[in-house]
Amino acid sequence: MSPFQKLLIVAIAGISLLGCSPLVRHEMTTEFPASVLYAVGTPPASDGRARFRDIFCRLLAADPDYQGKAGACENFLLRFNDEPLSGDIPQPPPSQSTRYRVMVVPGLFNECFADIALPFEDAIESLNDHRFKIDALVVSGRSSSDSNADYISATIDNLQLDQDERLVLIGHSKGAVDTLHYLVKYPQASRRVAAVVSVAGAINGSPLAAKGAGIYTGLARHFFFGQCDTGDDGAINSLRPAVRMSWLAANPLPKSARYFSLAACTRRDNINMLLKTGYDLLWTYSPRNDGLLLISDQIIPGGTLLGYANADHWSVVLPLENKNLLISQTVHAPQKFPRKVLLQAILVYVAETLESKQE
Amino acid sequence: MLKRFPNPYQFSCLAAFVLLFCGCSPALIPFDEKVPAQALSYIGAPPVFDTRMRFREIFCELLDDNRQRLGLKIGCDDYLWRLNDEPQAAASQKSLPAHDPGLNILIVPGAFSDCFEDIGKPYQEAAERLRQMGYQINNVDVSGLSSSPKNAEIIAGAVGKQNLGPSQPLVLLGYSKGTTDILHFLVTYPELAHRVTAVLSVAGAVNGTPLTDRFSEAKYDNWFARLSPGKCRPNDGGVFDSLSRVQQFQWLATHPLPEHVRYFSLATFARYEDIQLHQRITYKFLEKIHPLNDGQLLFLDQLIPGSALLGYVNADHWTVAVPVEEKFSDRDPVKRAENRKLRGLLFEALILFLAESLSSPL
Repeated sequence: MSPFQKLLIVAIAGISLLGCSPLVRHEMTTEFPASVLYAVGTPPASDGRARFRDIFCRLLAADPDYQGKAGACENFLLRFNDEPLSGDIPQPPPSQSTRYRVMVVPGLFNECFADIALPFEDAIESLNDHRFKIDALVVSGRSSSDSNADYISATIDNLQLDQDERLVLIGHSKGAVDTLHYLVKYPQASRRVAAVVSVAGAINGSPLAAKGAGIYTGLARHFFFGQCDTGDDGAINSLRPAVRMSWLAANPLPKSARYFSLAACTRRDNINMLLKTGYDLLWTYSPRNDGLLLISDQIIPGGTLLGYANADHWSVVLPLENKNLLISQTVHAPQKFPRKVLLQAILVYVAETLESKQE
Repeated sequence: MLKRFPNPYQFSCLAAFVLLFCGCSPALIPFDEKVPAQALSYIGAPPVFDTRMRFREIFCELLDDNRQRLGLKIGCDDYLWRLNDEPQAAASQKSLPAHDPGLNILIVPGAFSDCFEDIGKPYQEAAERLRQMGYQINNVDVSGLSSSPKNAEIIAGAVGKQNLGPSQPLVLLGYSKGTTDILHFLVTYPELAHRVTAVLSVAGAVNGTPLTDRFSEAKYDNWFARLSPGKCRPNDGGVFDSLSRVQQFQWLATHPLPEHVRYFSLATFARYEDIQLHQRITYKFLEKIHPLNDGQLLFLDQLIPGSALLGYVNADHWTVAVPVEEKFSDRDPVKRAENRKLRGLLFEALILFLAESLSSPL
């Protein structure tokens, strides 16, 4: 063998081994800044993490289930190293007279498994705050965002709001995308919406959907085991990154509503057993994911970033660990995620923002 | 019996083929240029804004004007990608801007530039032609294997030496890691940075590259530095650290860029079959994250926060600025000649765009 061939062997062998492992090898870390992927021309997100942490931590400290548990707040709300320190800006307490009608829109396939859990269902039951009236707005689990926008529109058109009531839509996962489609598709009717909150929202879609669209179309749709109608069967396609980013670039969000994003990500050992494959596939991009979405894909352009829940894509909203079902065994939950506190903190932050805007 | 097995050379090639192409972890996202321009950045970064339409007008008109003389057959849209959010040109196009030989341009090359001096500097031929028109165009001899802080020092020396006339604009053109070095210079030497009017990044390693994180982690950086692939000058060996995505991201988030400087970004990506052979392996690595890459960088890592986006060139990381393939390969002589001519036109279009942009306020 010539020296050139020897060098080529060493190079090819080394590079091939590198190629077999993910480019990113480090564990999920908060030791470098949080990131956002955005379509050029969309407005930047603003940073509300310091104030949201302040609210969340105070509510958590007052919650009987978490009182006296040192460090609980930092455990549940990740602190990336670029998070601003709390400004301790005194805020006027949210008005007791303004009331909020809150509709929670679930994500992909959730309708098909609605009997197992709906987003924040345990939190809604236990949240004892007369200002917030919260209901689920269950959209088709297998339909496209465009189709679900029609359903949301019909539901909200029939909604009776009192004069002092303001409408807030919370979307989990694809529910956040469906909600944004509704606002863009029905700009006049959606002026009733004061705020949209995305919780682990698939705003930019997911690389998993890019691959999954083909698998779902070819195979999974024929063996679907949930109990729901196929709808227009466009759900997975709506989550392809190319579809999502193109939609965001072409459809500026109405300025009549305020937008908020709460993202989720956690370490691999906290990920639900059923989400671990997704987590591992996304690890190629970044270990900072929740099993289905990367953190950089969960932020609404022009909205306010509230923070990063240390939870997987389901645990952040779905009370799976409470169920006496097989799926409860898939949850890794050394400490139950405080969904009631999270929901309350989100609503307090939103109310605070909307009321300060009014002033 | 043993002779029936392939020799080690054949075996390595076979193994590499199986590992690379059968895919240990397949790409999730397919190649699709029907996507909008995208940037990955930190929370609170100033947004990138769009000037692709005007840059396309300038480049395409320049191409059309020179097509016959240079014997070029390529269509403008085949060289400049048109992503699905690029605005359509206005019905009545503006004419080509006038040259402004008053521009003073310093070109900062990328990693390993001094190790392979035979290849030449970025845009060497084209720069010579523009010098004859009166432009002051010089290269900054940064150290190819050094860190960005080290090279920032070298750039500071070069900027300090520039004899600028009253209100004469100084433009720093960074290619690949040259962009990173320039950004470090602007932040570290704010007094000297005041002499700079604009920064133009070509295939800039703004966010670093995921390739380097893997490379540094495996401690190949020391191995590579010792191997010293060419005749590199003395260096601090920090090139890979400065290209690390983790480190560069951290640096960007904690070092706001000076607001008095105007920033421009031109990015690159190409299909696998259009990537030159020397970069196809690294393209395959990056493809697992995103197929829109140039063999060294992802398309979404190449935009300076707060910059004007000029466009996306359909070229690999080297071909857009330096004649690596022309020097080291005899593959497809027609294509290589075309690349050389297109590089010249691209450089002139960039300078014309800058001349026009800098003549008007923000």
